[in-house]
Amino acid sequence: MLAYLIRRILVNIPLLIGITFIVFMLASMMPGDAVLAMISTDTPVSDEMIKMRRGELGLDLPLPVQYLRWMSNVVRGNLGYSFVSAESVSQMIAIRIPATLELMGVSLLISIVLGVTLGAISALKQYSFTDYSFTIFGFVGISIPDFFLGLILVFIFAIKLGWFPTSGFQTAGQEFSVFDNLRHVFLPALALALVRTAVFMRYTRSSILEVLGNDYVRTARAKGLKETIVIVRHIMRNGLIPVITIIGISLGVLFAGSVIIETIFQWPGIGMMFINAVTGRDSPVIMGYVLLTAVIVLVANLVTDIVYSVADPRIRYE
Amino acid sequence: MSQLLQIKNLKVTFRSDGALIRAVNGISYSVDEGESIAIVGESGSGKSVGVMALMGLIPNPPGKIESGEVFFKGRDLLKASSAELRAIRGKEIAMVFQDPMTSLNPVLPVGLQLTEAIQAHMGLDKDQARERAIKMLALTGLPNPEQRIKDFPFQFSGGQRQRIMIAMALVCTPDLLIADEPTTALDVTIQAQIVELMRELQSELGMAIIWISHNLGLVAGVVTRVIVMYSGFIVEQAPVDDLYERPLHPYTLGLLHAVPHVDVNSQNRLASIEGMPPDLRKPISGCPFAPRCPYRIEKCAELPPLFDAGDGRQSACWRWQELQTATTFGETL
Ligand SMILES: Nc1ncnc2c1ncn2[C@@H]1O[C@H](COP(=O)(O)OP(=O)(O)O)[C@@H](O)[C@H]1O
Ligand SMILES: [Mg+2]
Repeated sequence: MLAYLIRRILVNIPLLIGITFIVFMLASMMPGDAVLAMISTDTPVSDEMIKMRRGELGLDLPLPVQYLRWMSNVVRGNLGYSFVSAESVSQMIAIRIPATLELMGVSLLISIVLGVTLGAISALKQYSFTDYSFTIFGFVGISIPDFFLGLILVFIFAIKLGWFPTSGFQTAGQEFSVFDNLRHVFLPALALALVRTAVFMRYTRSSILEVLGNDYVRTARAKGLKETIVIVRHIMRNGLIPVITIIGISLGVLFAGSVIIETIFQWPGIGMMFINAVTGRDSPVIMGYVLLTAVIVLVANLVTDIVYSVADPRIRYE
Repeated sequence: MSQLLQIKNLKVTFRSDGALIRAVNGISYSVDEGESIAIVGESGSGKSVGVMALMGLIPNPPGKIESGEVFFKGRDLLKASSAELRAIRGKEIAMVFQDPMTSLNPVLPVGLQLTEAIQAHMGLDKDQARERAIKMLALTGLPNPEQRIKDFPFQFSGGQRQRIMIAMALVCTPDLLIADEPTTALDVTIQAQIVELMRELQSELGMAIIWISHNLGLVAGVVTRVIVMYSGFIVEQAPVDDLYERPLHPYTLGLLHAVPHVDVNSQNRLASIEGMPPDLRKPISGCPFAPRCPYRIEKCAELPPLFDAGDGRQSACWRWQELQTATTFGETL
């Protein structure tokens, strides 16, 4: 297992290099650069100044050289410094990542609990009114873009009803409290959770339906077990194994999806940092974000494999 | 010996794609305490459905028990509440299924699959249940049960898995064991071992057994009485030796010719009865076997009752008396 994990990590290194290289090239092809983005039209700056500033940032070097400079720093644990604020990129990420992880975590929790429960109920009551209602909810959930849902939620629950704040991480000017923070995270987390709730629900439903017809479920009933034991130990235990993979895959998507939601809700996570970096053509920050995303997806896949092998004894990674 | 199970006029249907499938068409039979009987017939003749119904294991929908009574120790199981049924399942009536590969839960250790049955019925604590599970596994001849109890089904061979299934069924010492083709999915050599094991376990534990098979030859040595089913009907019932000596139904005759003989190569099982069983979706008016029957007469357009032929024998053939007195099968008919 350990050998397998190490091998998996090594295999992913070329992948990381490839991804970051492509993104580096794409980022450099965006019109304008960090220096132009910093200039406001009100105060004209001479071409010489611009050239000098570009030289300072290394923007006048050929692209492959720029990439190699970035890469050699990364290998030494240095993600570089923001062109805009001169802050250390690792520092910027470290400050913002807890907020993003909180948003992701709460959202994931909502979608797993809701999705698996609704999916299981749907399957156990196949073709009932409940089942049909959940299925319709699932279709709606999958078709509404999360930023749009976010706006609707803000309109109803924050502006009309006033139950939740419209944006931010905590109430300004107040001392930090967990309750206040949870009230702030709820709407963005919910907006982010809906799509995945629907996806998890559909997978749970079909996977449990498949398990229901199995001989070992009949065996469990023939043994005279209580229906709750049959459902939890024999049906759910087997039916949820494939759902683990779907949850694992969705982690990366969730991380990327949080960019827009963070911006809408002014959530001070790394998604918002990324949007600002793109606007400011701040390539060290862009690259830091991309590298982090790639690593998170990689780690999520590894964790999924491990959890899967724990859940299904037939799977052993060599 | 006193009666353990009595089934009266059991009818089971399934609804599928708008059609009504008559899987079991009013069967009646009984089983005494400690007795072992066989139910034989081609696949699709309603053997499994008939016994599932008495365990309350027919999925509804699509299945429906149309009518009948199932008395077990004097109680009608078809009227029992689901809690009462649950208390009987596994404890008083247990089942071994055809395919040990799919009948065990693949992701749970086999030990747990035994102890959960024990704990559901016997009020033993974890250690006692474990002890009992190990003892039962040892009794079925599984090597090393103390260690292997932690293993998962995929770590056992097919024959071992069926031993585990048998141990699981017998772990609460039921009064009735229903074995639904327990050897069909196994290799020929393993089949004989499992049959032998069941015979030994029965003489040791004394339970009654309903042995379902599509192979008359396999069960001949282990049962005292045979019930022959065809398209949801009982067509013949007789003590095993009488049935072999003188079948009173042409279908049984066909089955006997189809029993694989001692030579291992003969694969001519039931294929030797020509034609196909009737479509269960169509209402049956006459004798269900008539279209395939070489002894068919006009009378067969009428559904024959199950005649009492004396000596504990029954036959659902209009010509059973002729079959009884004929000197050679087929000759005088
Ligand atoms: N769940 C089900 N849905 C629809 N039809 C079924 C179902 N189970 C059994 N049947 C039908 O009942 C008939 C008898 O099946 P079964 O008792 O399994 O036969 P046997 O055990 O003798 O091979 C078959 O024709 C089969 O199509
Ligand atoms: Mg069957």
